[in-house]
Amino acid sequence: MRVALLQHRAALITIFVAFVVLVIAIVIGRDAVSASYASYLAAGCTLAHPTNLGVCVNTSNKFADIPSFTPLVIALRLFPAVIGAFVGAPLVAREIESGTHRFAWTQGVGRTRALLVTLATLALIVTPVAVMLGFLLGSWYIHPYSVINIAVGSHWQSGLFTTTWWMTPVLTLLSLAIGTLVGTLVKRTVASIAVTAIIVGGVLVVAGQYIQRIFDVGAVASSRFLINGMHSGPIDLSASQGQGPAGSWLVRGWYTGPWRARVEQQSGKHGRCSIEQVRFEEGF
Amino acid sequence: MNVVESFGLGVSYRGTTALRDCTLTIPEGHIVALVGSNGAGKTTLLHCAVGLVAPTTGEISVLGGIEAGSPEALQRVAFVAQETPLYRHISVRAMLTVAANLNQHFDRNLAEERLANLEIPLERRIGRLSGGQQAQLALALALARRPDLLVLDEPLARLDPLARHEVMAVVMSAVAEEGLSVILSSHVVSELERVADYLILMSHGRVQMVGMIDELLAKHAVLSGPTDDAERVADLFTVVQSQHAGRQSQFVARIDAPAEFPKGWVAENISLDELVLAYLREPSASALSGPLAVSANRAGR
Repeated sequence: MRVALLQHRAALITIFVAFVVLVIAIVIGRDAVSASYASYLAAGCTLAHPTNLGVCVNTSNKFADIPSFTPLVIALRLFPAVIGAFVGAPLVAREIESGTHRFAWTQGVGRTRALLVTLATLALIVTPVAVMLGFLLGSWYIHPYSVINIAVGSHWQSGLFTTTWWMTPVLTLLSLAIGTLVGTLVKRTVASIAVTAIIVGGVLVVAGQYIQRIFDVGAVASSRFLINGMHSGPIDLSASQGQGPAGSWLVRGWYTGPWRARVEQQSGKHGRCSIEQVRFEEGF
Repeated sequence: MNVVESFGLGVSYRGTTALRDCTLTIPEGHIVALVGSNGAGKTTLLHCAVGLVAPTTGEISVLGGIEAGSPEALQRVAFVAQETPLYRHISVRAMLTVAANLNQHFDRNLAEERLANLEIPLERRIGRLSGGQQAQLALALALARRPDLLVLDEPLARLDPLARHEVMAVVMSAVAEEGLSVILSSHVVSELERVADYLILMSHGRVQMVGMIDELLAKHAVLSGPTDDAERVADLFTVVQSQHAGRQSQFVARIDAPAEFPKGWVAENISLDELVLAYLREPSASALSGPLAVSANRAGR
């Protein structure tokens, strides 16, 4: 383990810098919404009958387009790609490119053990970092958003799913493995970084877009909104989010207007209309 | 025991043959000079011996039949690669830690003692050491493993004459103290002449000459005399290289059995430099020994 720490100082600095930058961004982002969230809770907006509906409406509208939210989610979604490209890819490629593999792979422990110990050490360092980032963003930072803004929805929604504390380390370790494999095959550091970034980026996009379908196996449940006059954008929204059956996971949700026709929130082509229902696709 | 045995060893990279049909045995207890021109296949052969390159054909073993590159072999074989690649961004002390962690048997005290004798500071970054100091560090790391076989690939290539002398002095002293076998590759014969007692000459990816240096020198001679009798002389001995200048001819020849020279012909002792150059100029000539020896090819005369 000590060898890996000495040999791959640059990789460890990459991990540390990426971690610190993301933690700072998360803390700043959370701090920026903590006052709004406190007032939202104080106004009883999570209850069926809020004490101050004006605060609820204002906060809800304000949170509908928080600019810092999307870049931070994207940054965390890119974290596995950064680890794969800048830690995994150079792991073997840099050794081969600089010729130091002729030293490292001819020592008494042998090539396989030297490589496995190095990879395992980096995995042991990267995993808790990814768990912490996933927890900080997926659970702590996002919590006010998921309470205030119905659009944030569930962890099981596409996009957010890949930033949870359990999926972030999984994708990070996958990227580390892909990067190491690419570096071993390509044998050039810069080229390996580029190829890894493309491959891991593709994997993350596919995971973000389609991984929800893996869980999309359950029943479709319907929940009726409590219409109490709140407005957001061109359509009416309810004061509280509908809930599916107990134990269910929200996969995706949409609004239905009169005659149960689906209402597109952003299109506005229906004009201002009443939401009759919100439907959720749930998986068990 | 043979420290290296190969049979029909061949290595190809993307259609290019780096090593072909390489069959040789290197007995223990020698300092072996592995000589050849650039691109002759020396480094590929050494890489096969330490497991860095897998043979395309044939097989190679070390230290009495242990598979080359296996963990068992690597515990007893130390390798210093060409240009002594070390982690340039870390200190000498950190490099000792790396080496100690990568080897079950590593005499750190021995390495530190050698480095202290050479006045190489432990806290200095390796990238800031001179070429000679880096070579000495790589050698100290290899010797601290207390190997049975030390393999050095062009250890002197980048060094000034003083550093070359110091590196060879360390190797010689290690051989004297530890009794290990050493294989040294180089394309400069004069560097190895003073220290090596066994020679392997490689050319165009194959082994051209193998044997004890004393025996090889004793079996070869520079013959010179009138051109009129050149053909008779060529029939008596295995001619490695011939030169004709007017009425005078000169051969570098292998003398397998005593024979009477025609009148006017004289035989002179050959130096190692001359012998190697003669074989390198005639790639089709060979001088191999042992049960797998192939008779010298006279076609290139």
